Amino acid sequence: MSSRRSRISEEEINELISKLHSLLPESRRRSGASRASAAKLLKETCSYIKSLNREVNDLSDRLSDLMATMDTNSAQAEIIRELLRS
Amino acid sequence: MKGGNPNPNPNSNPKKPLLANHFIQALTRINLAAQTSSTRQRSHCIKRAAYVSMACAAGSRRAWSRAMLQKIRLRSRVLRLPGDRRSIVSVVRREENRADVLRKLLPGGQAMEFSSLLEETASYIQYLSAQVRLMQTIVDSMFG
Repeated sequence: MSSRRSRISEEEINELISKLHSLLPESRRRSGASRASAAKLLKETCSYIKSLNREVNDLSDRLSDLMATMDTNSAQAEIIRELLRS
Repeated sequence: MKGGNPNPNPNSNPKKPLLANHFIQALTRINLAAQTSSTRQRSHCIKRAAYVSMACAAGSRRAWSRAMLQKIRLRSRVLRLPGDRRSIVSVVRREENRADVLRKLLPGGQAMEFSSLLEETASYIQYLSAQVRLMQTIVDSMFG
């Protein structure tokens, strides 16, 4: 990794910002991803990451509860594996 | 993608089998230890497995996945995983630079240049949302 700061063009930054914008779910997007709203995009991105982390927390709890009651064997895992084969 | 699950990024599909395999193997292992652990402890193990799966699926290509694997493997007992932080009320409120907030949320984010930060964030979001979808799918299938 280069330690020297290379000049990143405005265009490259805008491209990356557009990409980030496209990764946000529909409900979190503002119309247009102009440079001026980069700050808002970053804010929304942070908010989105936090909510995804919370979802991982919640789903971990739910999986833990479900596993307590589930018939435990690898056949179950195999079924799930099949379901996820897309 | 089957099942009517709206996927805005079709080219993220190649990650899916890798993510799924790793995570399910981990769940199976955790399941076998079910008798000895509490629900809370198991939840913690599942969460850890979720982030490890993400990082393994991303491999060493990404700075965030390298940083995450390093952090998790070094601290195998007392873990501070993403999402563990409780909000701390600071006495002196100040405007935080938005990029700084992002740097704290992204594994390895502190050391990155801004353009890398954006690129790594995009990757992190793709994997994190894929992981959430995966876990939701598993939960749904266990109900059915």
